[in-house]
Amino acid sequence: MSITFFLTQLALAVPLMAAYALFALGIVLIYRASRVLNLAHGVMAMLPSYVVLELRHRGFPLPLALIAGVLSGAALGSAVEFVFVRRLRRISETAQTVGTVAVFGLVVAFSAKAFGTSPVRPPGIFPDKAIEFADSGISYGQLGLIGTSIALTVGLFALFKFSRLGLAMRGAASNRTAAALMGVNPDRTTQVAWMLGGALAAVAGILLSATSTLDPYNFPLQALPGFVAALIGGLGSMPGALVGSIVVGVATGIAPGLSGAPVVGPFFSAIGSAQLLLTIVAFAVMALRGERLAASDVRAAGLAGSVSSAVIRKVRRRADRGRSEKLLRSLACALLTVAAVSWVLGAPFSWVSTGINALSFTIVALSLVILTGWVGQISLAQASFVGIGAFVTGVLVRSGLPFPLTLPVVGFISAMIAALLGLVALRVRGLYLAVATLIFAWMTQVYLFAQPWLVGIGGSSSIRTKALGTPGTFPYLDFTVNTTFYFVILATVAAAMLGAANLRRSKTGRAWFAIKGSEVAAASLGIPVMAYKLLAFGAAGFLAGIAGNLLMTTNQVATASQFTPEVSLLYLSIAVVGGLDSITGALAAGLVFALLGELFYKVSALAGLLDIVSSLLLAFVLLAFPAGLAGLPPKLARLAARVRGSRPALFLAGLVADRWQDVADMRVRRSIARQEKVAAAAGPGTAPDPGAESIGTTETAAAATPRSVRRSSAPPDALAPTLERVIVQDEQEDAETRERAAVSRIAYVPGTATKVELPERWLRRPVLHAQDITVQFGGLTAVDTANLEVREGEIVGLIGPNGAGKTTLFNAISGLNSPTSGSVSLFDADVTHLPVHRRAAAGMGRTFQLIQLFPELSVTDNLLVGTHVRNSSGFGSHLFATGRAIDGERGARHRVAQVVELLGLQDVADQPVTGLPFGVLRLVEVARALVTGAPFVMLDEPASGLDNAETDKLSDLLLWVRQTLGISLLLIEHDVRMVTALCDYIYVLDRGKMIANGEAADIRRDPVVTAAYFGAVEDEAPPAPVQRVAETDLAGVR
Amino acid sequence: MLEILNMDVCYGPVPALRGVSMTVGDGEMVALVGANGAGKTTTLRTISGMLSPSSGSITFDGERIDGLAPYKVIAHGVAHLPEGRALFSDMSVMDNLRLGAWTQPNEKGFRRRVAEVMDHFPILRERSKQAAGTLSGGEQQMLGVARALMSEPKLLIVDELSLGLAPKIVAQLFDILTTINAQGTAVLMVEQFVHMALEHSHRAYVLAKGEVVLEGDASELRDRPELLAAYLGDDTADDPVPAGAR
Repeated sequence: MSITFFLTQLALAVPLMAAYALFALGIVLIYRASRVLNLAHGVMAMLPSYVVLELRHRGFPLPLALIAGVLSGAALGSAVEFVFVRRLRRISETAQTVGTVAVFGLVVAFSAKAFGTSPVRPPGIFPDKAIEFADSGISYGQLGLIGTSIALTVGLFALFKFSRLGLAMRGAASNRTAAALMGVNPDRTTQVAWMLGGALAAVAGILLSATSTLDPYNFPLQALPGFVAALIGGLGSMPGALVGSIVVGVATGIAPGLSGAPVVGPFFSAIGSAQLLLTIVAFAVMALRGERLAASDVRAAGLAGSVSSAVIRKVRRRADRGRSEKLLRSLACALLTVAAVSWVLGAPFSWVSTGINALSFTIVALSLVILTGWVGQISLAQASFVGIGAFVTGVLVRSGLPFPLTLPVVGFISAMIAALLGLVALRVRGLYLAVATLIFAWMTQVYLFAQPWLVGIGGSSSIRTKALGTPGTFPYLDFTVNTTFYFVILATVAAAMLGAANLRRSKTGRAWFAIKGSEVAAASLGIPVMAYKLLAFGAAGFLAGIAGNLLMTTNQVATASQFTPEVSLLYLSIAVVGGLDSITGALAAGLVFALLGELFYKVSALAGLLDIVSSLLLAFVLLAFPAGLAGLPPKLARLAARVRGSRPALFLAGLVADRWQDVADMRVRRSIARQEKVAAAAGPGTAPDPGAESIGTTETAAAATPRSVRRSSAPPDALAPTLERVIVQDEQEDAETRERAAVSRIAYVPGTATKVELPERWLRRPVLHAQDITVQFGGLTAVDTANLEVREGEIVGLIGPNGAGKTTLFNAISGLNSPTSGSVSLFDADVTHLPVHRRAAAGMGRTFQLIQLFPELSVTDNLLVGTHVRNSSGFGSHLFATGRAIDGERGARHRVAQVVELLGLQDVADQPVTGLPFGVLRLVEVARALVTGAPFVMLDEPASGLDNAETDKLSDLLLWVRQTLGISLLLIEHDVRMVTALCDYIYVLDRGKMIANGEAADIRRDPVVTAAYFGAVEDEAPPAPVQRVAETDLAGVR
Repeated sequence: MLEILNMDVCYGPVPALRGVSMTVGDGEMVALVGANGAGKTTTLRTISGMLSPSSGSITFDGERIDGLAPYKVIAHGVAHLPEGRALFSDMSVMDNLRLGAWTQPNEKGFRRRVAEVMDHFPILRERSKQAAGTLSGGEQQMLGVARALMSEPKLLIVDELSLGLAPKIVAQLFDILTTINAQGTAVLMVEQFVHMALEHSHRAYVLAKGEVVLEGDASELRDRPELLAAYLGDDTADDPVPAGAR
């Protein structure tokens, strides 16, 4: 590899660099204005290119065609903003991103139909000449692209720097709220940004297509390097995007040259090496730029912010269902099963194929239900995993592995690769992830699926038909008959659905939903967020992989073109149309899409319209009916009920639709009932163990807290004595009362709590000790060498004026930010460097100022998430709903029942949290912290939003909780009245420094504190704080 | 000039203000005080359109402005300096001022007003090319006030002018605010340093738990024990006013 070759390659990459720069600038422009990563950017480049091409074919003069093309890009941009982005903002970031995905699909499908699928070569815009350069040449077209790019970039910078519009856009990007306060209409600047972005994409597309080829499937992906460039620049920076474009351009240029390099050479020898290198660069950048869980994640995304927008799931009271209804349900399910099995026997070949299609759609849609619907991670690479599954199956079969064995092996390999991709997701969230998966999909399509060792020459892999067993014996499966295969895939789908239903109702499923609801809250309940995300990626990859395996086994041939990003999009459409979080919805949507496919294949007039219809369906569901097909039966049933009584058919439909969600739940219930019966029959002494490991201890809660927190040891359980007391009572009672045994006899009676007299402070053991905590953001010192201690059984208050740094200190203690210096110890163990979930497992519970309940879950389910650290059952047992999982579930439900009873939440236990009164929500959040059994609980402004009467009630309850469970509390509070009435000990923070600490009465009279609150008048500055702290510290340990 | 009648405001399910009524007259300087979480900031945000009241009305110079978007409210002559300043921190001081004058797109008038506010805050003249985020806390707050003045408001709303600033700077800012008020701009301010606020304003309202619990002339309120009670809890009412607060 000579230097000249290298330089030539680089020079060839310069025109690309120019195009990438235009893409990246547009992406950054749109991102800054609306915080949306526009995945439709590629099609905004493609459609105008086709417009120009068509107009020129029809004889329009070039300048006119160019203007029309650029205008069409601008129009498309503003249409996307107006139709999708603006409307979906109220729902979620995910919805906005999926909205741009829908546009992507729609424009691709439309272009394929209108302009044909084969690549065309548009006539050049600049003279068709070239300048000799090095060993190669550079065409006028490429020069024109470079020149235009430079001119537009300069123009854009000038627009931003000098024009009024640019000023408004910069202002809105810098601080949207402030810009609105200045009189700038932020919606309009956003719209303009999308228009400009669209126009930039159009220019890049038109010029790029004139120097290469144009086709609806590959051309939109040309914008992906622009995303990588924007990411390298940090997404928000236009100069950064330019630098990123250069980096990406150089990477594209040198990638082919790497084939001669040592070690890495073989990987870069095939086509697609540029994509491989770009993927590596993109992932490296994401990994470096990503951040861990941060305090800033506690945003309005919690319950308070999403109340108006959340799709409120109707939580039925399952216990209320009558016997006849249960019977009906079972009957309906049995009928469905019989139908699914029997119709095939006499059906023609093509029908069976449709059935197989529907079922394989279902499996992939199911993978997205888990990953996107339950965990909130968007994947645009599911087709790639199906492809990996198919091709790996080919390799395995050719090397002699028979079918039933390939299924789990392929699933496992695919899961591993998906988890690897998920590793990127560990560092980045939401928007970035969608781009990461899209880049991955592009790379697999262009690079991986072109590797001869995987797919053979020419991108098609085939296997010889194999039968399982010998003819005449049982089991004998002849895979040349597609009816046989239908049953195989039916069984697989049933197993997958059952497994998914099991997971959903288990600790794992709840953890997933919790992560989707609020990652910070999930971590604060001891859920290792990253591990569970990886698990979800693995599970989704497994399902997609086995779908690929089944596909390969039945078709005996697979080609790379079956697994393009467009197909991933189709899968996403299926899952969204089904109702993104519904298992049954995935089945229904799989069926609908398979039938649509059959219909569009049979009716020649409709040929080629399937993609358009499926994209339109996606857009429609997204905008108008977010519940998807899964939301249809209940809606129809309600409608029917309103029209004239209840129509049995629709009723039945509703029952079936809800069926799968119930299966796992029922198994748990039955098992609990059975075991309780057995236990009751066996007599006292073998009462069911409610699952809390520390149940055997006879110590009180205070004494049960461990001397040190070791990694392996079970976390201290503040609920243990309460649970234990119940069991002792149970043993003494007869079998009849035992039926109610899950219910505690200890319950909160308002007004009975008293402020207990605590022994001298120094006699009590420290629970929490924050020592010399300093937190700096940039140059700003938010907290300056603050000390804070909470001792056994205490209620400690942290107060201070606005901006004093209370929340920063609180976050440093709970692990949401890392202090610049200082240490935090919990039960004498250093937790300064532990992540949030490990602190939670070590016995630190918390609530949030902006309530962070999980909006999609009921009160009980929210509380059940709190049992996470007390439930030692694992993923495998959840998947198969084994005895261990059921034991864990029983223990968890027992704990929750305890706390519900303790706090008197029975009336709301089955209700969804959205829509409950605010005071109740606060209580539920406190309850959730108690369910964890943490002996130390931090409360972030528990009284905010409550009126005086409600605040008093809460104070009384907190006193009672301390008195009964021996829990130590630390609260940040603005309500000084509450703090002085409730707290044993108070710390006062002002401008980052601890200015005083002491008992409530002393603090109230402290002139330094009063000055901090009311403002010392000039020349009466408070005494030097350092001295002050030293003094009070002495007083504290006196 | 500004008249609020029976205003209720909620954050989702959370009631923040209950039946708040208040007025600000021409050229008046009015303080809004109360404990943290009492609803002061919410009141200001609702006036400037960042929040919509769930019931009640806000009238400014005879026109209803409740429920209007912020960018429309400022066109009526109400400028809001929000809590935490909300500067365009990656933009220069001059660009911040330019955005402040967004509703008055007249280059000549802009230069005149820049000269005016720079007379109030000479330090900003030296810093005019610097990014706002690189200024010190006090300078940032000055820029916030200056930016709000650029729209030549009839009513200036200021939230927590003193937040995180040293007492000396706070006093300086209050003096400038008084000067601005003396030149004819009405001021409505939320301030946690109660005594400082009462000293500089004509009238005051006291909020507690989302309701107006007390109103009157600032000079009278200064010695009222109920005021303190709204801050430090009921049982402190009989405590003598601490010396530090004068």
